[in-house]
Amino acid sequence: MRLFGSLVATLPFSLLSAAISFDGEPDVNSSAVERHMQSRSAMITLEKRQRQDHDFRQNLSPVAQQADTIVEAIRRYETENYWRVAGTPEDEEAERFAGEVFPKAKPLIPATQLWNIIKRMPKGALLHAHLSAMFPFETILDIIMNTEGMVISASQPVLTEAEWANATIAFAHVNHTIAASGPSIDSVDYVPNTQLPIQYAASSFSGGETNFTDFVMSKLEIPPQESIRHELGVDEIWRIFQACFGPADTMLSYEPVVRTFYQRLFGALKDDGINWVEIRAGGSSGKLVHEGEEVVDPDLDIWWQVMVDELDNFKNSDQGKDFWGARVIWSDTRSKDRASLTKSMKIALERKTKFPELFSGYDVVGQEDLGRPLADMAPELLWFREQTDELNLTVPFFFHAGETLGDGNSTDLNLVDAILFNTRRVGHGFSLYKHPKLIDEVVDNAIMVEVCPISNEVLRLATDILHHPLPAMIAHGIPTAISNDDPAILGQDAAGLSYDFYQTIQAFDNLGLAGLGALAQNSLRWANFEDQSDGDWLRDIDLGEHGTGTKATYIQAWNEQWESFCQWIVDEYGVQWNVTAGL
Amino acid sequence: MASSDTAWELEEGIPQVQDPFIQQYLRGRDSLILQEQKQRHDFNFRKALPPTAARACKIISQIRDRELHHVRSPGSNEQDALPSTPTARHAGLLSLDKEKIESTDLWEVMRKFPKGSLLHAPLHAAVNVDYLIDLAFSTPGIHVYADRHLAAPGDSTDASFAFQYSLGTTKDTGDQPTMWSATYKPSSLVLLQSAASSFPNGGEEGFRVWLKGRCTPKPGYSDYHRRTMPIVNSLLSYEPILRSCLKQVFTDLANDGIGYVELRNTFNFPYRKESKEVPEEDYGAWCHVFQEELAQFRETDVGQGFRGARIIWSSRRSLSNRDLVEDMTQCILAKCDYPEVICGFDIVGEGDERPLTDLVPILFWFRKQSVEEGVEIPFLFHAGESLRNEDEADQGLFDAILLGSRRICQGLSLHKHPLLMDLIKEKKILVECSPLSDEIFGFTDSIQTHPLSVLLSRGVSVSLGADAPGLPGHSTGALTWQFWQAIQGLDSMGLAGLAMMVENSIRWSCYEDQPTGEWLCDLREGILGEGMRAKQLQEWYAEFEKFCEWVTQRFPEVEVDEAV
Repeated sequence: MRLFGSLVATLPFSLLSAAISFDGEPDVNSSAVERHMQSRSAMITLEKRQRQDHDFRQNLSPVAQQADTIVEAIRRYETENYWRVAGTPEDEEAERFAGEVFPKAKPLIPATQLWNIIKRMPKGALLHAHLSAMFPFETILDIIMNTEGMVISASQPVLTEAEWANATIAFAHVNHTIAASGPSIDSVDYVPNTQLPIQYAASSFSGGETNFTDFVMSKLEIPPQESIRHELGVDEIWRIFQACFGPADTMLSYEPVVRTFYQRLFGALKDDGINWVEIRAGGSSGKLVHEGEEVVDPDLDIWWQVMVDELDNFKNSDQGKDFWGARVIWSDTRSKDRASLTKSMKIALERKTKFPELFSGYDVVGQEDLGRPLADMAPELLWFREQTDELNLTVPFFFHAGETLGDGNSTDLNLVDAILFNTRRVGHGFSLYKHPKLIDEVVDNAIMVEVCPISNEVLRLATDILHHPLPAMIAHGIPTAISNDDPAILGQDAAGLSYDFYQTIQAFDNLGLAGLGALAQNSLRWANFEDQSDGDWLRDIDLGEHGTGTKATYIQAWNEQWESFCQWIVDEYGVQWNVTAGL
Repeated sequence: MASSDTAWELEEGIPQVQDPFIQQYLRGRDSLILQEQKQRHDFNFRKALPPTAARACKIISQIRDRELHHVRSPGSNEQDALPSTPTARHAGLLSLDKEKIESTDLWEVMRKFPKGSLLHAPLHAAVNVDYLIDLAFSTPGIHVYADRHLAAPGDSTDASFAFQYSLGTTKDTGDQPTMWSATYKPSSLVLLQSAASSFPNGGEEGFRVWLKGRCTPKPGYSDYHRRTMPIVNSLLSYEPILRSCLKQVFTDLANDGIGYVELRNTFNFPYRKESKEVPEEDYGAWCHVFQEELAQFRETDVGQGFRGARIIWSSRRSLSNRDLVEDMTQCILAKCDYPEVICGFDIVGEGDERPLTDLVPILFWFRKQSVEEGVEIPFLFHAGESLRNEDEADQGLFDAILLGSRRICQGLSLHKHPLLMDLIKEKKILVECSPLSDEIFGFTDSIQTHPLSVLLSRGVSVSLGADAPGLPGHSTGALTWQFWQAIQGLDSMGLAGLAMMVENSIRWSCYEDQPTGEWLCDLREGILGEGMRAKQLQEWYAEFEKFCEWVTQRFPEVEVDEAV
């Protein structure tokens, strides 16, 4: 470009001879420029006051302020020196930038200092996650491989690529002996749906256990190359996504596997700095086969009893002593018709009566765009509310709403219904930022949005994290917290929130460690630790750490974790990044 | 629902939709939705629609749904299905089945829709690339040069390369090495025909393909201004080519239903009159040609309804202060000599170059000079051009507002700033959005993720523009594509939403030079005013009325529920 610059510069200007004469030079210090700069910073300050994280920022301790400065320095350094790599015409794929699509960024993230910090951050509560997709499947597969009597079957032999893609698989436990012989899943002679001992199925697969694992994982995870094909649209990726839940549910049906799964899951969450979790499960889950059996126990309580047992076991273990607990948001699929939805609601109400501490609320799940809109379910939902009032049960709504690209379609309008049904939080709320009036309602009624950045990207709502509406929500004063949705399927491939936290802080200049801290604290302010009336719920959110109840205690505990985390950052990185006390 | 189900439900005590408390719930729902709609940009416009227009809106919304559902019908062959919305990322849009879309009813309607003013259109992007390349070959004396040889593979993709008219060197070129050879003398002129025939990758034919590639934006690459714009602009700096291109541009725009245009142009090459080796010292002659071509065009049949065209002088933000002062000086000179041509000033270029904040001193200087020379050159800034690099003040949005920009071009990050959205409503600043172009450049994904719908639901005034060249079916109307995409892709748009944006485009046109007070007053008065703006609005409303009439006659088969 230098050529053109010089061409312009060497134009034979003859300004001096022109009729017009110009005097003076641009002056950086002129009063007009100064006035402009003053108004500019006044405007920026004014705007920041409206942010949802403003109070949290105002009350940062000196140590936390220092940590915030250090983390910003690290983030900026890594944005420029680690992430900014230009591609070349020969290798366009080499192009790299901070905030690029998650599947491309993921392998690069763990080498950063920012990652080390985020991993250690106390993250408060995980409020939006679906049970069967919370923990990496490769580890569950490993547990299954080492469990006596586990078998696998496939719907067809898998020889060609197409067969590989079309086959469905199922896991099960059998209490009789199945011969470790016969045609492997990828041989012509494999009879569809024949159960093979899992070890044998793996070793007989061509390429052995490694290829077998690849095959199984391809049924359980959205492959990275799929998740970035945004041009194929939302419905296409949802077909792949929902197909993963079938095999996933069969993995979690044998009691010993399920018990181990819970221990590992809670352990992984705790290791990631999470103290509390609210899990969406219900309607479809809950098929349990006891140790040494092969038939599902018809008892509708047994699944939940195992969960409660394992939660207690974990809390009594060394690792789990600071883990505050878990609750379940009963979730029915939104594809159910009136009759079956009502039936499932009754089951939910019975379970709530039996396990009042375990069940926290109610939601409907599944692809919003294709399922029944909330307005259509109004009769059932109002009926449900009537029942809980009669039975004197507290089952608040935590609705998914606005997980869509639409603007004015029925999914988008689910936001209206969620608000009118007094939802305490909104799952995703991706289209909320387009609705000024609903934003006001959400802010006035202290409804929090559970934001799942990686999920929204992989399920093709946001191109990449930079296109996510989160900054718009925070700027408008909407309470938000970060969640991970379905990390085992969507590519985080790790239980916990670190990847979603990392993506969020890396992408937005206006956030920083302080902003991320505010989001983590929000997750506790809007956690449903115990059954509360609407009035008490709102009061405790309002009071936050200054309250007297359970919520305040937990927020105070998190505040302590946060302070020592910030102290650790200062001790560990302060000198290196030349940020010391007395700023 | 089967009656047995109903019986079962009644037995179970499940409420029915007609039950009073469900009805009450639904009324509450309607009122909440209404409260929100009151804030929308087009709420009053919709309310005041005359009956024919209201009917046309309903018809068009049905046509849109029909085509949307038709393409979404289950089991439809994915190859055959018309994409329900251009959700394609990057280049995907260019591969849309243009002919298929052009055969739809919605397209026919959009083509005919009177589109008011086009306020966001760089001249270099409005030119048809194929036409331009043919012109370059058929115009005598066109030479090319590069700032270094382009012998190595890959070199030719983004090296500097430009055109220039010259008389004299024709005879030397036969034996002189061209830029494709390692012995090329940097910046020396080579006759276009020799450069083309010696192109290493397929001679002239290959050269044309390569050149076209250079003249169209490469999705995902934000270097359009460095890579492409100079090639087109260097060609446009020669009188015969400029004249032909202006003719073509005016014709295309008028055919596309556009009545008035403000073209952004960057004057980064010296201008040469026909057969003159020596360049002009300023851009007076350029402006003269522009005026002449416009006047001639308005005499033609196509140009009958075309009301005018003006130029927004656009300096490159990458320039040093010294070069910028020279460029601004040229702008003021041109404005003094041809006040009717120049209507505003803008700073353009890649977002990662100098931010607007950095340019504040020099912009104040520019303003002071304009005042001293007694000319009115309002700011019409680009700001908030990308979602990809968020910085503290979001790419000049704060500065553009404080500097009194009358319109803001792009504003992609505006929706993250509640205060700024309120301010631009209060200060009556229009946002020029071009979702389709943003997609082609890879700034945004589909229309559905474009911040446009947020701005509209907030009541921000927006008009639609067309900023990228090489749009699919460019010659058949860039703005038609933009309109088609907006109404097809957004449930909440509808004909009324589009019409509101067209009204805006007229309201915010710089038809004549006005000091700020007068400008604002005129904006507020709108159609009730007395000036040029009010007259244009009146004319457009008449056209719109006629258009709606046509819609109702064209689609008599579409049944519309008459009760409003």
